[in-house]
Amino acid sequence: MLREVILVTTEEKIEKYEIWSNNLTKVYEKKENAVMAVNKINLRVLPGIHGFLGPNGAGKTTTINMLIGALSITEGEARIRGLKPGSVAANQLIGFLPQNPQFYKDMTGEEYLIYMGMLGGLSKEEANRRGQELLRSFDMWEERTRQIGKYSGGMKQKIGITAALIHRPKILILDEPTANLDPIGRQNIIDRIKELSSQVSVFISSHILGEIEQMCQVVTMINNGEIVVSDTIKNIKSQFVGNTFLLKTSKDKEILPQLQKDPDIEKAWLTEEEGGEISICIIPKDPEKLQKKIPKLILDNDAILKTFKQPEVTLQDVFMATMAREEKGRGERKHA
Amino acid sequence: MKPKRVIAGLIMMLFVPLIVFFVTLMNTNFGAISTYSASMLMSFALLPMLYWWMLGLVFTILVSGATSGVIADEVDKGTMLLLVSKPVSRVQIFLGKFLGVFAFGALMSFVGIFLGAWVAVMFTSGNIAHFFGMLPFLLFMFAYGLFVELIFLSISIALSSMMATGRKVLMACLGLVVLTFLVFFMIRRIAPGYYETYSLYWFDIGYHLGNILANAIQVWNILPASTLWQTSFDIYTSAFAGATTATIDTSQGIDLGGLPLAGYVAPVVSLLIWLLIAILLTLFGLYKLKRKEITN
Repeated sequence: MLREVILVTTEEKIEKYEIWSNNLTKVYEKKENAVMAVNKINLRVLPGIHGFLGPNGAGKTTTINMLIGALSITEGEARIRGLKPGSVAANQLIGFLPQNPQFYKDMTGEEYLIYMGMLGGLSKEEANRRGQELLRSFDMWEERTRQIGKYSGGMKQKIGITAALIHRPKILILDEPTANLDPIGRQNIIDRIKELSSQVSVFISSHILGEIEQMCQVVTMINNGEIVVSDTIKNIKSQFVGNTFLLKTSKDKEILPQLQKDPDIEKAWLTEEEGGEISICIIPKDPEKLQKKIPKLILDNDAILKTFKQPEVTLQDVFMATMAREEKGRGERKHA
Repeated sequence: MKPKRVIAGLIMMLFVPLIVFFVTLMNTNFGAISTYSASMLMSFALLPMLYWWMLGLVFTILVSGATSGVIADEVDKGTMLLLVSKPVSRVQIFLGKFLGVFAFGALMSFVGIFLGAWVAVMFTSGNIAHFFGMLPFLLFMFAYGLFVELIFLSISIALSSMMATGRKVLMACLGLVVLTFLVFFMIRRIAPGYYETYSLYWFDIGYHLGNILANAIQVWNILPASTLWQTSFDIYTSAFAGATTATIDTSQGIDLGGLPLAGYVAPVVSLLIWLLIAILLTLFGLYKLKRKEITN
């Protein structure tokens, strides 16, 4: 897949983006060798909810930490509505929730919000008023006098989001906000984010694709520190229609390894369909070859064929295929 | 800091000085001497322990303990990440923490000095006029305490900006406090020859502090130039030449003797060196925080 070629735009055009970056790079200098965590990332985030996807270690958190000014930028540049990341003016525009946020455990939820509000430039009275409004809005009113150290994971995420919202930012940057939450907790957070999107832009990173698909229309996928694709979900999916197959047999566990070793198969893995059915998801290099191979595979394994179809493509399917292609392309570039 | 720790800190600050004070003055007949003499005798009795214990060992450990984690632990535990994402500069974060600990230390030393003096007076002479007679001395010692706090706070906050955890910073600061108020103290008492031959006074923070304090007391006439306080004070500082360990006869009133300073280093040089070190370390700590990579 061709990488996007982004032209540097004028100052005026940069400001139309909530988040903009050009060749954003982060290299960690270690004693023996340097580690390139993020390599020439070009972000173009418009108002709305923008997903930032990638596997663990892809560079999502490093990118976000550069955007909020916690990490220095090795090369390239970035802007938050035209302002330099890490500057007081830029941070006034953003509300940030890190991955696994840490709080002052001895503070109550109310005290913490007032403190964060005052750091955000509000007076104590204003921070108190706004804090109360947010606590009620996020169903945390009853817990406001309890110490944060005694909160559940879901409560901590809520307090984290309210602390990010307290100074009325224009852009909410959320780094894996549903990590470590149970399904109900995750759905609560997703619903709140969707409600918030009418008031603020949201830049949300995650590796839970189903949630991103619920919330976002535009996503940027990153792997090994590089952007793999950045487009609307609709466009991304349309490129993969017709290239994914679902196979369900009586001997999936025996057949899967054989498919994974097949040189004509790009990727094969177990996936859960709606209704909880487990099937083998297959991305072939050549769909026609696959369709001819399946009957032989069934016979050789003395299995019963239950389903062989092309499903509606999910973002997960797209993600797996995209990552697989990216890894393959990387391998080819290395050997070249 | 938690209230229990603050109270424990105050008790530690007061405990030893008050015991030494009572032992030193237990046979003094305060009714037979003037208010001025009584105030001065009480000041003389408090001074060595204020220098070495209350504003020395204990205070510097408290300040180091309060400062050690202000940056290191915040970074280590991840709370600094949220702070830097807020619309406050790292300079503001640094100054806020510096001034916060400074205010805490100032409060502790103020309460310790004035509460300690009040308890000492009330349980000996019981005469509040003696306490008021000590006020200039107490205020002077409070100002001195702020200077000591500035030095150890700057050392601790610079280390906190560099090191990974508050525990490591505290260990380093404890080492420095022990070196200052115990190791060099022992060297001065046991091996004064080595102390002078190898010019160890240049590295001895305790000597420099005692040098500054003794000179300031004499120059501003905070206390009369009397061997009654100089000999006991010298045990902990070696600030005076020709000081002996003669027993202080508190029943004789105040003599008007006066010992010269030891003169290893001019007091103004001691003051300038340590002010400069404190300022440079503070700026260094700020520089390190500004460049620090904050991750989660």
